[in-house]
Amino acid sequence: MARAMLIDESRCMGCRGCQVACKQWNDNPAEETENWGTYENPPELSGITWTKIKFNEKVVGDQVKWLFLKQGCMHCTNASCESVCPTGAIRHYGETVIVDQEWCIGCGYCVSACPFDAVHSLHEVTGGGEEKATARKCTLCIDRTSNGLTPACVKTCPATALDWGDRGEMLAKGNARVAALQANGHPKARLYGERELAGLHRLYVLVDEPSAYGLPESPQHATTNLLGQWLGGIITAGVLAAVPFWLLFKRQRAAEAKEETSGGGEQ
Amino acid sequence: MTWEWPIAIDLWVAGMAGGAYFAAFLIDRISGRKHPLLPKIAMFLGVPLVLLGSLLLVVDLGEQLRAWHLFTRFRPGSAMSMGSWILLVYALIGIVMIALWWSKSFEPGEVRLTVLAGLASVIRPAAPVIGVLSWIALLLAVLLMSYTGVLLSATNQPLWASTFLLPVLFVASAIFTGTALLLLVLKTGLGRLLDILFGGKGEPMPSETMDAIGKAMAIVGVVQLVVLVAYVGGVALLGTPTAASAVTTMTVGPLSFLFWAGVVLMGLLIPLGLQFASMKAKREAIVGSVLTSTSLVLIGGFILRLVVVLGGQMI
Repeated sequence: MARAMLIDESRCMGCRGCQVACKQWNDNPAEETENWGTYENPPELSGITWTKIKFNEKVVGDQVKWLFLKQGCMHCTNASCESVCPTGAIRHYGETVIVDQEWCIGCGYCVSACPFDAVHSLHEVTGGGEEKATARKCTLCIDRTSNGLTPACVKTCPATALDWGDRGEMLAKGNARVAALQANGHPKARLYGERELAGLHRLYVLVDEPSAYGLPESPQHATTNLLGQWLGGIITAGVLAAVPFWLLFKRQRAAEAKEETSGGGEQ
Repeated sequence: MTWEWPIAIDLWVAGMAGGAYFAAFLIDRISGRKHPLLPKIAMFLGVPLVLLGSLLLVVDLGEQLRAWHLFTRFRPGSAMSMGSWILLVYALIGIVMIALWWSKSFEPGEVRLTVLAGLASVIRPAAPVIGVLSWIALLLAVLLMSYTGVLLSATNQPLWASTFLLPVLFVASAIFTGTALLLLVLKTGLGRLLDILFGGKGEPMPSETMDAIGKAMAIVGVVQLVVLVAYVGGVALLGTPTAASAVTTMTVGPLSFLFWAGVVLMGLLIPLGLQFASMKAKREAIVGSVLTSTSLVLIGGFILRLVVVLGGQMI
């Protein structure tokens, strides 16, 4: 039975306890960052930051409202990273999409393919230079969940914004919460992740449109148009073969054939 | 940034290798097998280019020593997997074809007491398969050119994935740069050296043929220019707002100098101008003009790959 994480953004207070719990459980070091004018820190997900709270600011009247978003791997049913991985290192284990750290070659294709920018190469600072290594991302704490525990971020969340369990149950809880929000002054409230990419395993209760949170309205699978893209290249080659090369060198052959014929006549 | 200049060089040289063979094969076959040297030149240059591109891909990996993992799976849904296999098979077939062509340069029954002649006589009986291999190589050359565009298109980066035109653009550019490479080699005399290597007399190619190759190159260049306009306009107008802003990194943003001066002016307008000027003059193209235009086409092809690879990751 598929399980999922339910993230109620209407309850999130931006404490970033989930970020710390994630780093602690997964032995990921802290990042050295600079103040860039917001409490949001670090600025981006990375090979050592697998979840973080994005502090979206929205101006409502004369006030600024925060729309927090817990970013990280969505564990898509139809996962782009899994499709584009050339070595098969990225695979589904139940609901969880896992990068096999022993098999990943660090090509970075999954990084470009992810519609949520949730996969990153590990950049290790070695002797002043950066070295690219394997792809890293949220594992949904599979080492915890396969032993009856909840993911570390869920366990630590003090605002009860995070929940973990059977996906059907999480959907029901999420929809009930959305209905309650809609009835209480949040007409735009909605559940995100039920159908996107054949179903995400991170479900979001949002109080505004996905775009206000920086989420894609309709995330696309990276290889949706793969056949058309290959055909685009192949047909271009065919057209360019037919037009310039055929015209110019067919004429050359015809001209020489003509010369031979007229030469024969003179003799 | 995940992919940097090594990837741009791979996409450039792999496309150029495929484009050169594609053009060479067509010119030879369409003209009634009058230019058998051209496919040989294209392979002789193409195999090292493909190997260089593959080497750069491996260097760019996070775990270089695991590169062999690529060849434990065949995953048609992954352009990276397809590309790895295409590069490998193309290089292998190219090496076999070069060896067979070279073995044919020895007279049958010729006795030369060298190791090379002995080797040539051993592989020479296999020479008739060149015919089949040359068609397989054509197919692989088309896939090789297409892979460079599909690799970037099958992602979620707006500049690469918003339209289907990136593979079209890269294939046009691959044939443009490949034809330019052939012409450059023929004009510098390197082609005659290669002719001698493959058992020919090293005679220069007739100037009408070289002018015809120049004309073909110019037409391909015009097609590439049209596709470039369609690609930039298409992503800006039909893509998402993010895609439109990704285009501006190329057109007005940090990469705008490289784009306008490198890709448009140096890589397309100046070489096309030179080419059309010599065509209008109705005389044999001046060597200096051809060398300049073909070199600019090659450099422009690299800058195009660089601008697209870097620009796609800036948003």
